[in-house]
Amino acid sequence: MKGMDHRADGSDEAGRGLVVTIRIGPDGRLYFADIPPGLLEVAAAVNPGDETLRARAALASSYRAEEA
Amino acid sequence: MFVALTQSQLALRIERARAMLRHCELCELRCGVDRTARGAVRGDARAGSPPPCGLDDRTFCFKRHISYAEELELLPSYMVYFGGCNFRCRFCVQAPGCFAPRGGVEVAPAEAAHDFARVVGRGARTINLLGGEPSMHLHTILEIAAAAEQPLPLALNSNMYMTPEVIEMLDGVVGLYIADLKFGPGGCGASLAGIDRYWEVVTRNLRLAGERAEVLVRHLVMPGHIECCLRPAAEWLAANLPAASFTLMTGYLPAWRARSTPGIDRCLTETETREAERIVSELGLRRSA
Repeated sequence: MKGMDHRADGSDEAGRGLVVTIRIGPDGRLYFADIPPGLLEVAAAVNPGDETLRARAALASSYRAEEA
Repeated sequence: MFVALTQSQLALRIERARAMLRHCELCELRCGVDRTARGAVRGDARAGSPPPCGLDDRTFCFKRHISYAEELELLPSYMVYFGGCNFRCRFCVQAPGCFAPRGGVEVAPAEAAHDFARVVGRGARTINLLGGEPSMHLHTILEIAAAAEQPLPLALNSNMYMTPEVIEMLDGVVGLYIADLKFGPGGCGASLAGIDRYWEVVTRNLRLAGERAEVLVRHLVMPGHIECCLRPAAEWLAANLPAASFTLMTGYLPAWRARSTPGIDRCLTETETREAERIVSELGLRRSA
């Protein structure tokens, strides 16, 4: 929010400072509780067969994030 | 998703929502606590015990970010987490931080409205209010809507345990309910989340929400809870809310107190996952992407 730092976890709109939990399931799959923009490529790389990740990446390109 | 009320309509609702805080019955716990009495002894007006949410009349945001993890039709989604919750789900992935009623930064409605408008201008498709339980911040949500220059695409990611008055007052403000239908009609809501009358309240509210907004229902499949929770939930949706979108969540991993709760201290088996998919497929629920 304008002028506000999220001191609870330091996260901002772009997910900078966000603590993301990634769990490895017993089947070897990776589970992301959140996928901020910076992790999309990682998620796509470890799940190359996931069709929805391609769609998610395409949607990410439509968002005009603020430069750091 | 964009809905609009007049400023005078919003002003009336804000006044009413603020008055409701003095004897809070925003959720079906109906504890009656005076949330405007900061510093006073907090407690259940009837039973003398503190309400689980611990909220006063302020709203705090403990996390916010653009996310691409939600259903495709919501993306890009701006996730805004409000602290404080009336449930204590033993498997909560946001616990315990989401229970803190004053963790993070206090929300100033005008600044929040500006922030939300900014991210929408950048391409965010939904403003996803969650927590915690966001419906207990009814007054703040209305004040944000009133402060916005244009209607905001507000989505409420809720446990749907609110009183009917909350849904009535969010009519025209929230365009989408992202509703968790967590448990079936048995005792699982009480044993796993500490909530009585779960089924009665949540199914009532799903109907009410469906009359006023789009509804997307999520069900997290938990190990050993297919017949008692998933099946009745899916059957009820198919019969009563066929227009709602449905997301079957099969990525359960034991979090928080689930790790020490027998039965849900493990992941789903492949058999359970297949069975869950079969049940939902046979019922023909409208699946989200």
